[in-house]
Amino acid sequence: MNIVTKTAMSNFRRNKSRNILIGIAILLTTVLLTAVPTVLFGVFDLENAAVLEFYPTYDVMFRDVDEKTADQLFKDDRLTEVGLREDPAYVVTPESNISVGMVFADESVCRQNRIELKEGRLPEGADEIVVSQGFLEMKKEGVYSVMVSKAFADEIIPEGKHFYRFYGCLKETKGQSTDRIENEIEKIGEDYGIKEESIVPNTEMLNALYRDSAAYAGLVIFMIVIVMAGILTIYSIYYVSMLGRVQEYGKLRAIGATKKQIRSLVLREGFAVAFAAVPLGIVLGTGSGAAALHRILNLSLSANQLLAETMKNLLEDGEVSIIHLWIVGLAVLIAFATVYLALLYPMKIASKITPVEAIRYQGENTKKKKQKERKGYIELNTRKLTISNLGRNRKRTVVTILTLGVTGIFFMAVATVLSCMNEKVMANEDVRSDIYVNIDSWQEI
Amino acid sequence: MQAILETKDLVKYYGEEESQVRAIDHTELKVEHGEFVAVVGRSGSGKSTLLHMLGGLDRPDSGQVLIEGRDIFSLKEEQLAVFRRRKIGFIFQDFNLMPALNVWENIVLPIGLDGKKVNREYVIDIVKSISMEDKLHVLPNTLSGGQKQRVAIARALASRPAIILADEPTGNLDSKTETEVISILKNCVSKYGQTLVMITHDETIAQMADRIILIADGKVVS
Repeated sequence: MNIVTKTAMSNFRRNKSRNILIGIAILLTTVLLTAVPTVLFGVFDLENAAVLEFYPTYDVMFRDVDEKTADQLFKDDRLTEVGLREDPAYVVTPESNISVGMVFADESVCRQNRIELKEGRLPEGADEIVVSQGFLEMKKEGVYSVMVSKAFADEIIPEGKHFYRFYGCLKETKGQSTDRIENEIEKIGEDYGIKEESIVPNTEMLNALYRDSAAYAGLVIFMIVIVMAGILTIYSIYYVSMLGRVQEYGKLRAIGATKKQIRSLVLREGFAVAFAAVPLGIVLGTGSGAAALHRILNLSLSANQLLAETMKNLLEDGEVSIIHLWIVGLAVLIAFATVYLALLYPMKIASKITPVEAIRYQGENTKKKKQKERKGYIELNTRKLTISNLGRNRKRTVVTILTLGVTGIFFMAVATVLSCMNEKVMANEDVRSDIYVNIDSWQEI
Repeated sequence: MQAILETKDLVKYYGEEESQVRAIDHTELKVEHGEFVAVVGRSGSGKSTLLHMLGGLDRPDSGQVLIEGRDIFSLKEEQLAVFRRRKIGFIFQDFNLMPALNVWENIVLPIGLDGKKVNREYVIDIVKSISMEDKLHVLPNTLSGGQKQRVAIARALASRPAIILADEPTGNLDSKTETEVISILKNCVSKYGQTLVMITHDETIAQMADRIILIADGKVVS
């Protein structure tokens, strides 16, 4: 082992308390760098997997489409797998609290909505009907759905008064982001004069199939914030401890250490701490990320209960892996990069110390203009002595306060965000109104 | 024969105009190979500043310092650092040793910084000369002042420099230890054929040298 590494390791052992503090800072940074993407991508992956399992597969649904527009949409080159649905009638029996929704949906719509017939075929004649087993048994009260034919719908609703729901997929979607696809969908809707509120992209499915740039952008910003907080914390600990090492670096320079060797000494000492703290941070980060994910899913009051349940099952069954090697690799890389960046300035300071300065060093920067006079206190006590010391090296005081303050703000922000992940807030996020009515009309009851 | 150490019209000033201090004022001196020279002067006479410049730790405002005929300030900073660790051994009054390294490591540190292999026999011989064979693995915080200075002497000798510069090496020691350390230093220096330039304010110690140089107000007086 060469002398610089040996000296670094000896210094490492000697500066235990400083190195423990730095180790904690590196550990926390690594934990965040691992946990945050684990949770975010875990939610993405689980949601996507759940959506792919049972969500309808269309890209867009247009509401209140008249017959003429429907014809035109069917011929539009930009669309494929097109289909129509209409709800021509609704039967209510107030005495028994049972109602029946009569729905016409063509083959394409049935396929996209994952409707499979156990027996028979879709109704064609006006007097043909498809019902569920539950409807036949009619054991419970509530809403039943039955399928009727287009012919029946045409009988009930006069010509020119049809308002369909149009379902379709975009032809050109490969490699596109969800934003672009949704823009394309809106454009098509506009072209046919369809009102904005009647244009319904299948957002969850689109997110599951294509990239959502907004979420990634948010993650990158969060990671940058973590890195900056990490750099500031590590740097501020080093900065304070550098002041006690001035003479040591000066001595080394006196006996012939080059600037490069001094910088290398500081770097190796810092990295020695990182080699211990980063792996531990990865393990803790992955563990806490997984735990957070479990907790989020258990607490989730998503408006879509089925989605939440499916996600939970997928996680518990281990069907979706939430540990990604690339997250671990990236976290390791960024953690070491953070340490390196934090050490750059301390390395520079240490290498600039001249032997003469070190010999004369009394705890202040001798190069700068020294204050020649100060008004001072007539009577002194420990409080006034503290104030005088703080004023002696203003730069050091300000830097220390700023960096520790920013670090404190950051950790408070993170703690606030984490504590906000409670039921109430999550419910408010998902459900933007006081009452939400959802009819899972294709489920058997 | 060429002097091993020579200064030419060395000048170092601090401050400006009225408040200017002439720390070194057109100083010239020569030291021959193997000589033990004591530099004596009162406090503030410029002794330490002179020594720092002789060792390349501080740059003069003008003039030259020649070691083995080489103008050390013509070297770039990093080259000077390398030159220093090969050619100059330093012993300061205090704060000589690296607290994190043990005695042996402190002694071989300059050799290690140079990336060279340690000549173990030679170094062990030096260690015996300073009577520290049984303390090789000990850390500096457990050593007495005198022991620390002995280790500093060993370190200065270990890299076989051209010249050893000592800045009041016994200034912090009691008189008994002081005499002990100076004797060891003198013996080692003559045993290994070293040249020694030592600053001292103590006349008794100065008398042990081959030659005394007196400094006053930044000038060599005699």
